[in-house]
Amino acid sequence: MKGISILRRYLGIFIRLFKFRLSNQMIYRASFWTVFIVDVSMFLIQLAVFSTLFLNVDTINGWNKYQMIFFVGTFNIIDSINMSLFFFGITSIPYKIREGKLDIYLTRPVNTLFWLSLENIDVSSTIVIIPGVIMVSYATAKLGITLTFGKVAGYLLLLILMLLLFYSLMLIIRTLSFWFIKTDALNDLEGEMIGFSFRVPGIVFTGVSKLVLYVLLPYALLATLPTQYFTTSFSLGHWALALGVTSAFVLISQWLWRLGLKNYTSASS
Amino acid sequence: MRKYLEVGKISVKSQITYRFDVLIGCFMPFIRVFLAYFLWRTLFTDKTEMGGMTFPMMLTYYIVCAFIQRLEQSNGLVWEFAGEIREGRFTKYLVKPVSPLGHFVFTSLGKTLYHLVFTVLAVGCVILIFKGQFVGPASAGSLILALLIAFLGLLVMILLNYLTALLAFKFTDITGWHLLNGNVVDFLSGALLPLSLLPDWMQGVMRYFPFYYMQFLPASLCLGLRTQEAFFGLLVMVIWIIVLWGLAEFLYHRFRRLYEEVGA
Repeated sequence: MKGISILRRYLGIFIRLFKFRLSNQMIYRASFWTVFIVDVSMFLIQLAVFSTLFLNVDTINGWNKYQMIFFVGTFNIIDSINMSLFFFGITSIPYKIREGKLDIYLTRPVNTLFWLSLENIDVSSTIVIIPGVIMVSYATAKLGITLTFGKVAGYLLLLILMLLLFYSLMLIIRTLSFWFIKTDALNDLEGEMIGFSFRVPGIVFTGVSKLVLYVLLPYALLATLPTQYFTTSFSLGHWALALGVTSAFVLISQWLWRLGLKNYTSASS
Repeated sequence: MRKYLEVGKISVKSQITYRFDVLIGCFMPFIRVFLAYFLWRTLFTDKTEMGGMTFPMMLTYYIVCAFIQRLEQSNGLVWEFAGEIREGRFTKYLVKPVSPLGHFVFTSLGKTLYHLVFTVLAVGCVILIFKGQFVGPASAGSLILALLIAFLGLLVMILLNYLTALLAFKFTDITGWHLLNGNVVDFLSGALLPLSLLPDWMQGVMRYFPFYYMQFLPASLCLGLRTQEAFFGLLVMVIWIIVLWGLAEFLYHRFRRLYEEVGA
């Protein structure tokens, strides 16, 4: 019963944060549209990269053009949800740590991380989910995949798991700001990993590289696993990998966050 | 000029404070090259040549691109500069006898100089790892031309980043613009894919824009490809630098009137 009331309270806070951001974004319309343009540009560049590759090859390690379209569509769905919900909130954490602005968040009677993650919801990014869904639907039709409840539910479950993993990976990097003043290079490094993992499907990795990019720095799992589930075979081992890696990274990120808070010295106040 | 050299010196010194950041940055070339290695190894399974390049040439292409990209250090400065405008700290440029553009350019070049040492070491390690696959420079002449064009490309990128930062006078939040700039340049400069894979007509159009010469042409010249395009490239880059420099000065003088000194 207590759990339900907490859930309702946080849902209420989320709705208020959403409404506040929406009205805020409507005031700064230029900002609203630039974020939208950025997302569309990312999507178009992604399409351009794969179209260029498929001008020169027929398959990428067994994946045909339509599987790659599905992969790009899945990437766009994950990325647009990430950009809409927590990207701008999480990326502002190092600044707040560095400038001592975390104090105000720590004094609020709400989970600090919840507030920080969701206070910068970006409504304009949600629009990019549409081309992502269109691409996934188009590829599904071209691949002749029969839709069943299990298939769709499994795909949605994997999307949620990959979003949790994405969130945890982003948070881990930002928590390092508790110990290091400047983490610009880490942000660049993350951008590089995300960029390439969304452009290079995980199926091209083998041996040690697969171990690194599937388990230690699991960026390669993000769009690959949902695509593999929907378009090829997906074993119990794959499920164990998705659940195991996501759980491990969620736990690590939460542990690092708590450890970081203990180290927080409130720089400028 | 001396005051700007001092700005550059201060920029080099300030980098020493952020050793962790510099150390992590050294891994950047490794990541880009390793990921490219796995992608292209797969794509070359049943092919010997793509876009006029063999697999070792393709790998070398990405190593050279990673080297050039790592030397571009004005990216982080955009956030700092925009923050100064937003939070009223830009006033310091208005009271000092320095041009914000000169300050921006020399701070970027100072950072580049500092990172050069580490980038050379990091890329040297990458070359050692892939020494069986790495294709050395085709000739001293093409290497010099490649370095010259890459340097001009660096200046163009600094100017583009400065222009992006200036938008903070008008839009306050420039996150979107900066990300857009990065995404577009990444693709058009050939950092993601060699531009030789694109259709010929598209390459023809791209030759009149500076992006083509930022990474794609220098990397191609290192491989001994497209040497006939080098002098045209130099000309195009010089023209673009003049145009962008003029645009930067023009926009600065227009936009600074919008500065409200909030929080200063």
